[in-house]
Amino acid sequence: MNQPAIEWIRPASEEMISELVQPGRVHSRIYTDPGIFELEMDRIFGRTWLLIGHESEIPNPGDYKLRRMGKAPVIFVRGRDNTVRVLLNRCRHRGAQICEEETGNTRQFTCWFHGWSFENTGKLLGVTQPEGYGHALNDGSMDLTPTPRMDNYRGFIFASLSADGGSLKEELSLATSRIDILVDASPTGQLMLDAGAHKTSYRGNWKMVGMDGYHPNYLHSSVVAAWKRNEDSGVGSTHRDDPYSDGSLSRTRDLGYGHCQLDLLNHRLKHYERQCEFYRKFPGGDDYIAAMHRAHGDRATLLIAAGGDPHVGVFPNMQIINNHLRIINPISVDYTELLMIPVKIGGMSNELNAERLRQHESFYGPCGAGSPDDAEMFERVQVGMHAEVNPWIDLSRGIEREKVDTDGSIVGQITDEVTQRGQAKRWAQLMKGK
Amino acid sequence: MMAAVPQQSGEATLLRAWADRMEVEQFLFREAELADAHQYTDWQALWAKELVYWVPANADDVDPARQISFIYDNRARLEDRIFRLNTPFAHSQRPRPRLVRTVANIQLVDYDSSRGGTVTSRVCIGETRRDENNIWMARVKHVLVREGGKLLMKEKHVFLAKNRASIGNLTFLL
Ligand code: FES
Ligand SMILES: [Fe+2]
Repeated sequence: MNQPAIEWIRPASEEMISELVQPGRVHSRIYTDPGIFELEMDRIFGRTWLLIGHESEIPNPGDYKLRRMGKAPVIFVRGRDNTVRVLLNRCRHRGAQICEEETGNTRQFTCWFHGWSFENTGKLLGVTQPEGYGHALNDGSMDLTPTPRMDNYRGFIFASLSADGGSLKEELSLATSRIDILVDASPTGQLMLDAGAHKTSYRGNWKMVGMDGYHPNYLHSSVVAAWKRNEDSGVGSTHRDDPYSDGSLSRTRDLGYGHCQLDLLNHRLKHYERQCEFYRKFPGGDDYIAAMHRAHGDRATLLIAAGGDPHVGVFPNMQIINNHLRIINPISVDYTELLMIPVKIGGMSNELNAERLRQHESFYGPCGAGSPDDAEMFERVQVGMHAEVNPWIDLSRGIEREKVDTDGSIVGQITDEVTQRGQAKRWAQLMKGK
Repeated sequence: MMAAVPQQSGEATLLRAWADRMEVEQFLFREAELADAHQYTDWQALWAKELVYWVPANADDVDPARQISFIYDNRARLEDRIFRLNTPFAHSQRPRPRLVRTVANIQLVDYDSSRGGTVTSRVCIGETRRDENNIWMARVKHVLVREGGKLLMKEKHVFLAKNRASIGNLTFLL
């Protein structure tokens, strides 16, 4: 079943994209071709809503973090007026990146090229030797540029480099109720993303970071074996009794718009009592459980069992997995940076939140037991894909048994490639300029 | 430099200080060799029962109770780490990198040979995996204890020079 190499035409035509993404398979060039990557930066990262961060990362006026939107450097900042903004990190004079420190607190951003300065709201503060311009520049026309759109869903800040497109609510679609699983893990709805971040990278395409329920028992068998020795070790407490077997109640879901989920909720619900027992091992465990029941009534059981983990991917650059929020930054066609930001939960004791950090470290980050093995595989795939005699990546697992659920999501067994197909579908749609 | 040498340094005191230094150096060199050679179980045997193996992330002065680290292992977590590395399925260590580390600038700070104490050093680790080379530099602090006549590690803190930078695969023993 060798395939002829695809005629390579730029710019990519609709026909070509259709040829690259077919039912149940995609062409490996979508992961390896620099031209495709450039087009993605424009048609995906230049257009859709992108996650910037959570407002608790910048709690005080002047706090900021540097983030990226595709190739564009941006500053995620809380101004002196206490308003959260996303500003392009680019001096309005001749374009120098205006903020260098990755995180900090500042009253103003100064560009040291020619000395222009801007307030932490983006407002132009001063121009050196202003008489050189025939007119005043501080009329708002030369302030730092905000992203054309910005919006907030329950504390998560999203922005878009395009002025048009659907609203955030509309485009998050079914993902909103999944983000709620995390926010509502707090009886007060409060999250604290103030514990730092793991910044990791791998030499592979950004799209490899997906939601894959097929791999854990195989790729992560070293971790699964560690859970067998001690089922509370690492993130074991939310992975009792093999959630990744097709016999489990776990499901894969395509939520539309490229968002996808490993829906472990019903599987975890079976272990509600044991999750409570686990929480009770820590000071404040009982208080947390009681507060959850007071705040959420009937939903509390599911929320406690879920442990704040919807295991959701929000296309194209956001994931909430186990105890962290993840931002996916494509750097080039074969290099990707991941920001893994652990989430502390308001209403949990310091001890419970510290345990969340330890759980996170056990699996994630460059020294974890899990994500370095994921990255290793992504790198092997990136190398393997250059063998193009048969260039197809197979994503057909479960294609004959998937169904449309009552909420409109497409649902499959936990090992099915429903999630990958959902992402590929959205990818193709956006890449066709639709 | 000679923090372990008391003020009234007679010849005997000096000799004892040198003997202490030799013992500590030999311990650190042995630890480095086991780590370089991926001798996980033997390396684990250098630890005291209660332990802290700490590699902070983002900065040197983070508080592990409130912030994440790359590694913040107690005994149970360290045993999980070693267990995993000893399985054939720690893929990020297959193939294993070749490691060569130099331990230098060793200083015995607040150290007493009968009980142990704090030792600081610098480490530079060269890593070659497949065709990629990495250099890992760090300040290191050991807290050593003497248990049953033997020196053991009670704490090891590794302050990586690049703990703020983006880091790929750092799953070998630091
Ligand atoms: S480029 Fe910023 S002041 Fe000139
Ligand atoms: Fe994984």
